[in-house]
Amino acid sequence: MKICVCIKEVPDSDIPSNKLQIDNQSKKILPVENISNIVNGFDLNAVELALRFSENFEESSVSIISVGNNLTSDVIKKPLAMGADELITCEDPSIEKMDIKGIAKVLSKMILKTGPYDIIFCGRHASDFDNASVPFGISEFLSIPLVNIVKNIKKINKKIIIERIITDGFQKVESKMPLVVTTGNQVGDPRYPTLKGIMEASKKQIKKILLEELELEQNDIKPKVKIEEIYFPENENNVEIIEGNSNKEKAINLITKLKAEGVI
Amino acid sequence: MNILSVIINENDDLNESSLEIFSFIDQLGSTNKISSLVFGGEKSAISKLCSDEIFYASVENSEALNPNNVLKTMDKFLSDKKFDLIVFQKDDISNFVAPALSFRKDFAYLPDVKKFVSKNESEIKFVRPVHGESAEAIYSVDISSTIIIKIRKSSFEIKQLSKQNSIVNEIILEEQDENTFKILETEKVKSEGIQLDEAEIVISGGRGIGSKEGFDNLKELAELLNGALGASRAAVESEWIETSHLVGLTGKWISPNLYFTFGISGASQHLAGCINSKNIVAVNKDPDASIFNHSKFGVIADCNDFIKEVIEEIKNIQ
Ligand SMILES: Cc1cc2nc3c(=O)[nH]c(=O)nc-3n(C[C@H](O)[C@H](O)[C@H](O)COP(=O)(O)OP(=O)(O)OC[C@H]3O[C@@H](n4cnc5c(N)ncnc54)[C@H](O)[C@@H]3O)c2cc1C
Repeated sequence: MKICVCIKEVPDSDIPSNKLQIDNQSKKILPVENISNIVNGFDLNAVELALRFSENFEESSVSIISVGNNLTSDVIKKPLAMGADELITCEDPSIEKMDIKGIAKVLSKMILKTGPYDIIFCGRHASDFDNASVPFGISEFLSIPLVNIVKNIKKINKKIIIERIITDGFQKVESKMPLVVTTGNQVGDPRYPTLKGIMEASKKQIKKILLEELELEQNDIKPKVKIEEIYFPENENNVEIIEGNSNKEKAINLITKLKAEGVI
Repeated sequence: MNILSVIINENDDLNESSLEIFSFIDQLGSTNKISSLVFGGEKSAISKLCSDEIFYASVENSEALNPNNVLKTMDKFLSDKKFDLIVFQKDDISNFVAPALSFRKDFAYLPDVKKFVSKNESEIKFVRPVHGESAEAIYSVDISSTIIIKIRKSSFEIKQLSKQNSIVNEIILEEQDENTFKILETEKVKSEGIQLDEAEIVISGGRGIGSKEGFDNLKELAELLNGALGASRAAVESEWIETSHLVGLTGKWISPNLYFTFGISGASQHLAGCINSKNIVAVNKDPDASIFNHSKFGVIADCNDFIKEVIEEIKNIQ
């Protein structure tokens, strides 16, 4: 079973907004302090599910693919430390200007160049720009099925059987291979890298592919969608803190206010 | 502009929240031609949509709709029609179809649009939140090809249906392609009582609740106030409550009259799903919790102690 997982390096999504700043030159949001980037959370769920799935096969490999500019190798090597076999990147300043179509094209071409893969795992949504769309581009450009928000995946005979999350429950679905699978936190926590894993990952060479090698066409990378400006929306803070000498008193005061306002 | 609104009725009724699309389209001026493409739902409700023209794919039952056959149908539908703008609401099927269609047709795509800014001969500008809704960005989109957008849910007042009836053109729901996944089984976890996205009052718990038992108190309060139960990701991941109660960026988007939170910190990704509630009330032991920056009333207290007092007080006055 040949598996690939697409991952993205993003600012730490747990940083509160008052610790973020906007760089309107690069149209990016950066942490105020020197807080390290992370692998997008849902992508680590994808790595976890891919590793779990691959363990069912005697022969299998998990390749990690990442595109960007100035990637931090300690960050993007995390999936290797978790147990993935190889890491393939494509870095180029022009990637920063691409929109979702450009990125999906680059990833698709990398997948074709380094594959073929039976399954391509991706996080359902990247926490920096929240587009939740690149995996659909991979599926469309490679003309293969996509199953989104997957919790569980099994191979039964020649078929792939998947548990897929929907807003009000779940679905059991069937797909052929190759296919694209997207994951969310329902997969469960990604495994911690072991010390041995970290050591081995640090020694592994990153396979670097140049953007030129992918032979993209101008139309593939010309963005239709551009960010003009990023800003923090104003938030007038006028919370009324309910006082009281005890929780009982506070509860009475709160309920009285809510009644007076007609809220309850 | 020639605008198409896409309405997915996953149940037999008209999907009320999809009417937000028309309020959004109102922002774009009054000289646009509006068409609607409606999947499923009762035909009688559909003829009253605020559209110049309506296309309707009727389905036998709500289970007949899935992302693959809606995508196929739209692909075919668009083969001989041209729109400047195609507008989706946020729901399971649209979350799949809108981006997939944009790649298939080589259209521009922008999700979670909150506001229209301006338009000239070459581009149109929209505002959408980024970084888990901790910031916003103005995007410019090239108008030389069709633009697909998905609006940010619960961001627009629902518009009254127009009275004049439009002509309804029936279209056929296509069979899905071979090259797509097939649904074998669907299991819906319907919670008892009032549904989260319909409730006027939502009682919501986070990591601060600390246990599954703690959610029993929330449930009791919700029942007393005729409300529904919500939760943060931390509570859902701890398995104190099912995922279907998740509120936020990757969960439900709601705007009840009262959103009453217990032990929720107010991460931007959580606030995304509830920020348009009319009244947010927060209980948290940390006076610096960011949820307070978005609340009308705040209580600094242990949430498990406090909720018991609230329950008692509500019982006293009822
Ligand atoms: C891409 C992405 C999407 C996401 N989507 C969502 C989403 O849809 N919904 C969502 O909720 N989250 C989402 N998250 C996660 C989000 O960032 C937060 O991690 C999550 O909302 C935190 O939940 P919480 O507030 O319950 O927990 P915490 O942030 O841990 O906060 C717990 C709070 O409880 C308080 N507390 C603790 N004990 C007590 C006590 N005894 N009494 C009173 N207060 C107490 C603490 O002071 C703290 O403020 C997403 C994250 C990412 C990166």
